[in-house]
Amino acid sequence: MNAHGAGNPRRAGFWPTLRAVLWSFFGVRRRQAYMEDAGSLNPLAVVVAGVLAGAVFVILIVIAVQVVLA
Amino acid sequence: MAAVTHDQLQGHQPGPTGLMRWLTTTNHKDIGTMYMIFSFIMFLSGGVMALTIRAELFQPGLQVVQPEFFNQLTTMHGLVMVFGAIMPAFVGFANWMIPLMIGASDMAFARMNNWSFWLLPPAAILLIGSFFVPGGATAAGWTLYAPLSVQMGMGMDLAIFAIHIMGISSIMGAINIVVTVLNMRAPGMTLMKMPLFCWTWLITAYLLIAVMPVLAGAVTMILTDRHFGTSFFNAAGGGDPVMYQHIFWFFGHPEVYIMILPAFGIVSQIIPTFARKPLFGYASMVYATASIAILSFAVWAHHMFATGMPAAGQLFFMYATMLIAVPTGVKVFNWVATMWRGSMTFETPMLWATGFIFVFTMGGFTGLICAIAPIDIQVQDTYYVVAHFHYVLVAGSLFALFAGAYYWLPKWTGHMPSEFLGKLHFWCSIVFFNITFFPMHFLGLAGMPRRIPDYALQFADFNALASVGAFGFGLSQLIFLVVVVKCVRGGERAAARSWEGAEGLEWTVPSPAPHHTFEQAPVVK
Repeated sequence: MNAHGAGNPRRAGFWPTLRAVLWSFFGVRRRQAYMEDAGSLNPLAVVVAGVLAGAVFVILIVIAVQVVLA
Repeated sequence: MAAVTHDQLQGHQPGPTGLMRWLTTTNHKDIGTMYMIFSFIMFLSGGVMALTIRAELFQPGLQVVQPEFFNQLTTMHGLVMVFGAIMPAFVGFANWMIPLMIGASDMAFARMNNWSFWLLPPAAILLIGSFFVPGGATAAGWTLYAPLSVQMGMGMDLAIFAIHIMGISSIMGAINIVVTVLNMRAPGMTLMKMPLFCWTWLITAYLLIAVMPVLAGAVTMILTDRHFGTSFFNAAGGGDPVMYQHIFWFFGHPEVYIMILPAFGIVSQIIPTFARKPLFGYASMVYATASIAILSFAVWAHHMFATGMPAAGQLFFMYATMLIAVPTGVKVFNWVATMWRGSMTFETPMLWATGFIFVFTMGGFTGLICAIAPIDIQVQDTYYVVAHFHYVLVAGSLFALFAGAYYWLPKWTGHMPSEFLGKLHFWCSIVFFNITFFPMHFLGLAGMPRRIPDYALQFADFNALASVGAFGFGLSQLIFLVVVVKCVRGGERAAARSWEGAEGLEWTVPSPAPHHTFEQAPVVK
């Protein structure tokens, strides 16, 4: 994505990417963790994880609604 | 289209002058300036419509305008302010500031940038000109709900074409911003070092690309229902008018965030400068912005609780809407935490930014109240909703735009804006704003419907108060015009770093910023 950052290894695995995305849903992140994210996360993977987590979020609310209405 | 500017291609030969300079310019600063002048003209036009509305509502009964024209005014006020004033103003800020902030020489697609802007004046002419066609302008409300919008005169067609054109302009502007931010950052300006204004605009640009085609689809379906025999929204032909509302609000709710995320970005630049501290929780701000953007696609039907929805649907959209308040609350917390124990001074931009936090938060809270389905069904289409969204869009988007304008005017003009006039503008605006819109909460709770030219006698006092406030607020905006004109014509010279605590690449170039900046990309440590 950033030509100047091409030398950086962006090989964070599935769980670190998902963890960062889940923290983003809360909107809070520790500085140390963010520095690690900035160096290791693949932006494309973050977008994919964000959309997936959004879908899971919707499903969780649907389940909560079903529980309330049951 | 290559990522080089017209001026670079021309080898810095002097370009056309006069009107042709502005018609043919590919310079991001020129285009940014034109966007802002355009949006201010539209702001005044929409403001005149608002004041006509408030003049009519000063007393019960019909005094100033006929009901049909009143409905046109409420509709056009909304359309002009949303699509003509707020959105182009933010794009103007983006044009001026994003290249300066990321160390780029210009926007990525300089010619497309010119076209994005020059599509707007014809769209504005179509929109405003629709007042003068047979039947007048569209009076279906800015949301253009079917079946009203299917039944209107040709003013509706003009509005549809205006929306198409403004939508194309927005999409091109958004593509330009995404490509510029992703590809033209200076060496060392990693995404996570990028000023928050650029981040919020990057995310806003994705939202624009995602939802403007949805709006275009919605109004195109109205157009074909009107003229080509389709029945998308006509129940008699097998269609469904409620489907229009779903499609419109699938665009409309992200649109709310399109109008507020860049405002968050501006405020996030200003508060650290005048608190003389780095922004608290920069990473959280980025993450929260992304979170808000994603969640904004899952809350649209909270605008439609009163249309008759299964309980499961009401609960879903109610829960989702309440949850989206969490990342927004994180942002407010971070701004306050940035100010905490800072060496704060309250120059005009900081006044506007703190005023923004105070009043916008009130709008956020009334939004949460509206999110509760059983309450929303009571306040739907009342003045409570009018109060809520003006607290978000005027106290939110507009106040942030003023904050940003006062903050960057030294960079744009080379002169410091008058502190006295700026503060006068702020205090008049915030006082009159609250006089105008705070009583509307009470009117709404008492049951006064929106979009009516006449009302029952018990609403008279609060309406008179709101009208007095509205005229005060409207006239206060002329102070801003005076400030800008004075600033352009002269005044105290601005230093490159115009504000003591200002950080960022834009403050490393002289004030006013030269026509060409960062032809040699700066290196960010």
